[in-house]
Amino acid sequence: MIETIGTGLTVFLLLFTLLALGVWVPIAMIAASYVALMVFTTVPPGSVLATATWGASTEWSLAALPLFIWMGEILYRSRVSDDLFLGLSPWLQRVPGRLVHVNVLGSGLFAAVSGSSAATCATIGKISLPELRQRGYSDNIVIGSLAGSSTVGFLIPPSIILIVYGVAVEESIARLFLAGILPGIMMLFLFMGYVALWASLNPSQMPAADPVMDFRSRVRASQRLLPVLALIVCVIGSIYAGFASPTDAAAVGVALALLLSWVRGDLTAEAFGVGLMSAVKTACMIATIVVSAAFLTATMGYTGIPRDLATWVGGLELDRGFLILALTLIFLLLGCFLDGISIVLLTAAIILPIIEQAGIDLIWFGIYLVLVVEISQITPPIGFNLFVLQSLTGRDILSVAKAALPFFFVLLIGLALVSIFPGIVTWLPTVLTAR
Amino acid sequence: MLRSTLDGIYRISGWLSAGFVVLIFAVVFGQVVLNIVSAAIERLTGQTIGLLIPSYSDLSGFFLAAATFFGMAYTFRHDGHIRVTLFTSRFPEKLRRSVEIAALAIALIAIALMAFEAIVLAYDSWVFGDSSYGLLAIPIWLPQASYVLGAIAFTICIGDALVTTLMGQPFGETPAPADNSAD
Repeated sequence: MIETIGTGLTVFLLLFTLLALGVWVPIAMIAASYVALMVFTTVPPGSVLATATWGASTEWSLAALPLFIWMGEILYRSRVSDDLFLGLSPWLQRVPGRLVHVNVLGSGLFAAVSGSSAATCATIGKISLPELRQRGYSDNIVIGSLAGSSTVGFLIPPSIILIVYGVAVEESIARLFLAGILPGIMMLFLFMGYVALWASLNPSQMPAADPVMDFRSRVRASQRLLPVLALIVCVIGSIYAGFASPTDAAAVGVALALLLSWVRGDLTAEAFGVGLMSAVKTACMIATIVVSAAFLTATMGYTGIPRDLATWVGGLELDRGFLILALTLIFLLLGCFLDGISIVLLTAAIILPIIEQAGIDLIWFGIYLVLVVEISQITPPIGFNLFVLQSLTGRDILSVAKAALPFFFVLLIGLALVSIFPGIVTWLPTVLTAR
Repeated sequence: MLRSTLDGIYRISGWLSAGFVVLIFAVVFGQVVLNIVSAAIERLTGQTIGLLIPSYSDLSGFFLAAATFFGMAYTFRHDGHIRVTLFTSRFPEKLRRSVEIAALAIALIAIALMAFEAIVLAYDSWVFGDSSYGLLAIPIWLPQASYVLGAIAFTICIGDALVTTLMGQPFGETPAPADNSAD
């Protein structure tokens, strides 16, 4: 036992040294695992490397990943951003916070056809940032609300992180998707609540409302939302109705997104090529980490580190709440220098037995993990939403992070709610899969 | 000359990867269409016919592997793989260069090893005549060839980056890895 802890510390030290030196994440995982197998076990590292990586690379459910990423790329290059802005804004003129809510609701809608927070942030921000700034809304609330609410991209299905998590811990991706819906909607309400509260407290920083449209013109403007809504219904609906796996739904989504942008004349040969190659890069980046993490997981299995770690933590007889709190702090710390996908995969490889032994539901844990990862998306120095907003606004990352700070606390409130009332996560998948 | 040949290899591997993503889409979407057609026929005639693309999940799995492995070199060439630059970006210029060379050397060894093991894996599958269990008995070495070729291209790309950096020239799209803004 003491021996394995020594082994474990050596392996982690090696892995984190490689990461800190700027070795690419998947390559650091491969190198550390290879050395660990060579030094601490008698199994041949080479054949484990080959079989583990090959096995993970052909995982059918992972095929949803490039397809959902591609779908997001097609939509990003279409007129969906304009549609969301013009369709939503007429209804929000009288709500406290007015058009700032476009950021929240637009993110929520786009999250339902996109699997990534950064993509949601970029797509919504592309149009809402210039429009809101031009109308005189304060930069801080505009940037902050966009940074914060676009994080639901990972929570509201489809979700790339949930696909990766589901594959890594062998849980049903469809159930994970179901589990993300209520927490996602809850977060949207919390964000809107904060925006309304802020606007009521700072009326001087709010510009005058646009001229109010009559009801009929508002309805006419909202017709622009129909294509997006149809897409949501087809993609998400087919998973919930149970007749399509997430991979099937992703293929349907790509087909519809292509159709939509072709019908509206957005689908030039150039846009198609650029979108596809960009999807290849993002999908390959993620798949490479998944494949390498499979080798790390296999290595961990041979060294016995996760099992002994679980026994050790189990022996401490920690309170569940305390365990969650401790894990949250560790994840937030990791989130300061690692990206979300890597955190999820490291978790699956190393501390999964601890979670299972503590009797924590793996579906619930997946959603909890996504929320923590979302929080790390908007905390400096490494936060992908911050990078996206940095390049959209031209402001430096610290001022973007400062604008996002209130939303960091809103996310913490959401995390606390989900921890205190786990039913928010588990109720929907239980009800819908009980049939 | 050499530069453009090497970049040509990475570009072609990227296109192959894109081609396989399109193939995944074609196979999965094709099966969805067949499911809908089968269901419609069943509704109309009462006869159950399950129209199938043979070995549909095997095929899309193999296409996914090919898309991933062929994409590695292209993604590396375009700074797409993720890394932590939080610490190294704060190093003084000289130290940063040495650390960059060390990171590339480690990467070269690790990925060359992976390519070698991929060759062993595919060779064994070929010698033992392994094939997939589905309706189509696809010889496993065939999809594994994508692992071999993709890993070799990735190894070449990292070796290229190492040599380029050693010669004091920038590799990748951003000359200095100032920020970790990979998409």
